[in-house]
Amino acid sequence: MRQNKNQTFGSIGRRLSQDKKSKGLFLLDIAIAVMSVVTVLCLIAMVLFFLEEKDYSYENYSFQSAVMRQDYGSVMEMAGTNRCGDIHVGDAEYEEYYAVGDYFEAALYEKIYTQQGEQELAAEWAKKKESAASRLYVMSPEKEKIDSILEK
Amino acid sequence: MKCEYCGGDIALEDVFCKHCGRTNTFGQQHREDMEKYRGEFEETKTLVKKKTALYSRTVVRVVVLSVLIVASLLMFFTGVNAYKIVRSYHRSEANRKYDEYSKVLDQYLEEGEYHKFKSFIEYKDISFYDSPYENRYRNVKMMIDFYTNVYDYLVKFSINAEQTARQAEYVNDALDYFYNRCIYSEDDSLYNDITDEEKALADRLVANIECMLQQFAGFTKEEAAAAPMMEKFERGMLLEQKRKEMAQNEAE
Repeated sequence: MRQNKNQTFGSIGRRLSQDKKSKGLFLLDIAIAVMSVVTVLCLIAMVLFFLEEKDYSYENYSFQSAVMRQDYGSVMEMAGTNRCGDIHVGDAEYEEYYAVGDYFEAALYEKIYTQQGEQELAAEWAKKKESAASRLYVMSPEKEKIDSILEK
Repeated sequence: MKCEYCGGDIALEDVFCKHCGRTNTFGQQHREDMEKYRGEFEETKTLVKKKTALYSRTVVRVVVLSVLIVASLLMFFTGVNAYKIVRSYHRSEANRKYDEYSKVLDQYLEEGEYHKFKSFIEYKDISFYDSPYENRYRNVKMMIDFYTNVYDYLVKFSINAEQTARQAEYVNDALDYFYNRCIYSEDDSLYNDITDEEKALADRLVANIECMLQQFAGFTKEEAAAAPMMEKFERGMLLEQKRKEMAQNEAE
């Protein structure tokens, strides 16, 4: 009787121990599944971070906002940054924004060098101004706004 | 061994004595013992196999989990430092392409495209410390940095919506840095470190800022000419006065 009892307890103990071990393995499997998802997310995040850092640029809403505020200095700077990375070069909408920046810079320097009596430099910037003006279509009203700012 | 009954020589494995024919009890006991040990051996072997299999499964899972954790941490820290890594790569690329980039920079300087000069340097992450660009462009870069800051703040200063006292302060600070960098006297310790080309550039930039002060801040010609020699607080007061005048004119 005692032997039978021992055998019974022994087999229950073994079963419990096996159940514990199975539970442990199951929990490990869950942890691996969760970590796999986390690893994939980390990989995606890493790739996105690198893509973002690789080429920074300005989008059309930044240009739109600057033009609306008549902050042509910012338009010029943003155009310069985008051009360094060949970003949106050839895109008709962006080319107009770049032309606005170019026109402002050229018109300002033409005026500055005329004031300083530097006729050659003024003539060079006048040419650049004309070239920028020829690239303005939808944004050609900005030309008049820039001219009126610089006439003050 | 000897038979326990007749003393004759028999082998341990013999079931009966070949001399007297009686049962070899020692042999029988030996066989029973061997069966028992064989059974226990097989049981132990099975148990060890089971446990090993279990441990192997556990070890493999733990190793896989550890690799995933390490990989996640590595990728996380790499992503967080992406800025430094990319900038560092760009810097070494800029040093490798010195000949190509310096031609572009020289062209911008020659054409007076000072904003493009600055944008190019910033975009390509050109470093001016311990690099081939240091000797030729460091002073130029500093002058142009301060110049473009003044230019940008002056343009904003003139825009209606942004005429606040803070803008006048920004312009004044930017002018202060600019004049400290671009106005040299022969007593200045830095004077001998600047080349003639750099002095010519500094003069050009100062003259441009003079015109921009007239254009965007409403300075008279005399005020603009005197601005580099003014004390900072004096210039600040003048800028504030001009700002109020411009705001009043806009209101009218």
